[in-house]
Amino acid sequence: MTATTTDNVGAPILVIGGGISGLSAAVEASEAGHEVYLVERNAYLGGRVVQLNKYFPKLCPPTCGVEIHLKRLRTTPRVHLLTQTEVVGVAGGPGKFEVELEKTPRGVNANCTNCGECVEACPKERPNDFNYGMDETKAIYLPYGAAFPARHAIDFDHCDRDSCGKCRDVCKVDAIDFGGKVETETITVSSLIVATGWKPYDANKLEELGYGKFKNVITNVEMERLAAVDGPTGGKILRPSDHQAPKVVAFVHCAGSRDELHLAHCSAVCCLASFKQANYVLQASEDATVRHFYIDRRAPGRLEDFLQELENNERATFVKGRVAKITEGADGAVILHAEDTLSGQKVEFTADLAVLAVGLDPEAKDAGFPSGWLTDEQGFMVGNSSSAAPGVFATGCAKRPAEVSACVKDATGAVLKAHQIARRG
Amino acid sequence: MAEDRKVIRSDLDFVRRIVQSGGDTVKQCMQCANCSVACELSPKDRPFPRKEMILAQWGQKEELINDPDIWLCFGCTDCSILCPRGARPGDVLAAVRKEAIREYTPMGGVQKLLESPKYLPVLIAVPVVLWTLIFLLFGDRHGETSYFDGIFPPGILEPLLGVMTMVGSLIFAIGAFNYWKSLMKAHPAPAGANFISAVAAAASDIVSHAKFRQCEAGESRALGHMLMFYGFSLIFIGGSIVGIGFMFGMLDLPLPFFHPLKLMLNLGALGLVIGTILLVKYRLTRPERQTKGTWYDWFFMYSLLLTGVTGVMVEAFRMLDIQTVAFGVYFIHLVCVFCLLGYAPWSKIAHLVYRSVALVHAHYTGREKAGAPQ
Repeated sequence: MTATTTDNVGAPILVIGGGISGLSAAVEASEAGHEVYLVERNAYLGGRVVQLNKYFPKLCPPTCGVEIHLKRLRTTPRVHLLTQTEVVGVAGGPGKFEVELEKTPRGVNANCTNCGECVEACPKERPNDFNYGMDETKAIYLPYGAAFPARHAIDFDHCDRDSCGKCRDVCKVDAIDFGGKVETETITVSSLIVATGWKPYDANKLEELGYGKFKNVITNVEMERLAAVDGPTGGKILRPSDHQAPKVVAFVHCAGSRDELHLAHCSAVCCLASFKQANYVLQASEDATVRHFYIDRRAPGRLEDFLQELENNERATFVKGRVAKITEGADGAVILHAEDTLSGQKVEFTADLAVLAVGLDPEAKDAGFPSGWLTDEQGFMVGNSSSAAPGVFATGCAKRPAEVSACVKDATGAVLKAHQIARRG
Repeated sequence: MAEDRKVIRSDLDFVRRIVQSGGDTVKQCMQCANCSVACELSPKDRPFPRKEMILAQWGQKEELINDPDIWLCFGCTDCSILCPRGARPGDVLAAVRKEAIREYTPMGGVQKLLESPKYLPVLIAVPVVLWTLIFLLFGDRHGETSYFDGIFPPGILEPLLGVMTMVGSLIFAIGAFNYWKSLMKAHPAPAGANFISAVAAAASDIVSHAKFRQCEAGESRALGHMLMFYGFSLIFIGGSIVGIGFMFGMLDLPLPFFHPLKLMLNLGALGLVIGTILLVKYRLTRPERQTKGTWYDWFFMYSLLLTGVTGVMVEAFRMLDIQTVAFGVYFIHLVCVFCLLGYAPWSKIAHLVYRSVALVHAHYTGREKAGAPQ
């Protein structure tokens, strides 16, 4: 790809993060005539969104929205896509940033046709991070069915390279390359759009809630993968202990959220995500029931309809009270301890499966960005092109917890700010 | 249906006092009720302290001071440790207990003097003047008689302490009666409730300190409180016997070291000092997020500690026969004793009375049965 600067729109724009926000920003900037570097840490684009089963409130598949973006990406000539790449250094200022990138080798070149024979041949396994470690893939793997770039990748932490070489032997198109090294590259850009997004809060830190201790306590992001057809269970929601479909599912809202000891902020989307997941359970089985334990139910604006619809379902019940503790009952059952504050009674509710609605932990917090790039106390980036970091625009969940549609709009706004800098030169 | 409407009136002054008495975080509470579950002592039915937190936020003074649950909390601060908002329910309940003491004790306004160090000079001045006067009026200023039994003649001192104790007990009795009446009105006992067995159950709670051992998240205060409680009790009972015995001419003072009563008092002093040091250490090492001490608490703790320490010192100096030092320390000791006992009906020490009343009430009404630890 070569830069087309015929429109005189100045130096390229760097977008850090290829999730829904970064992807949106990249295609919007590109379509506006800018040359764009899109840097993504993973081997594929789409970030957290492609790990979701469905969007709320329409319950449509996320790949739909992502595919439109990918189509735009494929048809615009101005995006330099750099996967498995991280920003390791930033110098300069608005109009002329020198950004150092570090690219780790994929091990599979563009010849790859996704035939999958290498996977058959590979003797080694790795935990599948796309499914939050609930299953394994081979050391050579396709990140997920609709991955873009549509190409396999090798996890070199689990690969024996030349001493094994089985994938290379079966590959008919000569796509395997064990020799790749970590490479650094410095690019010059006019501005930066930071779309580093979030990761689920580490549920292992929620000691009282028994995650990691009791098999049938899972997180909301794991629930998305369990419900997804390309997930570890082929789309059947099965509880981890005995692979049976749970009849009673409890949703633990604000698991570690709005909690000084964990994430002090409200992650804004978990309420709706939990209501959405209740729909997964209710639709999967006629006799399944769900119970939500909440502090407040935050379904702003039109989204309240989605909540009301669930409230009207007699198989869904709600308890106002934070789950303070989870213990284990007989046969893998989990017992949730809370006070139902509306009746003033302590309750011990026995469920087959408990789903912790863990919050959004901003990646920007530990990204090692320059100290001038201000973050708030929770690690979300502050403001757009602040005086401390001119020419740096945060967008999407790097800035604050938000649902997909808001992120997409926000990314478009960030592009306009980047555009102004690029124009000024 | 206007007549069905309940208008909630907030006592903002009450809220302010809670905020100033260590409950400054009360408004952080978001009613998630984590605390109610975290608390091992909280009953299943209408658990605390979540409901107390909102009552305190809303200034519902009447409900709170008639809420026996505030005394079912033994201040282990498990709730505060686990509170997601740092609202310190443990400290808020302590503040509410202080307000309840003020409410039910006659001349409750005296408590104000115990709330801020700025009144400390007044609190100290009272016994200093009193003991100085007694020394000037009755003491042997020429050193003709040996020891402070001449300087502070027991013939004056013991009856005076006796009167003080009786006045204090009367104030306590009125407070306890007020509180019991108020509790029974707000939360009547069910038919067939057995008062005697309620008293016995409450006494057993107190003697065994069982509830102190049920906190899980934090370090237990059971040992420290037990030593302090039994040490104080031994001294109080032993001291009273000595005083009465002396007044009725049955005992000569000072008692010989191996006199059973003297041994009892020394044992008590040992328990009191060690127990109080453990509790002071506990308080000083807690992170502020868990509990933030108040002057009201500290005044009580230091009065106890200094009373114990000076008491032991007096004895030591007397045995070493260093009379002038012994006299000086004895004077300080008497000041401490006054600070501890003279202000007792309004100070933190009053929890002994009010908590006992609340525990009897809890057993009497069946509240405590419901609260049996799971």
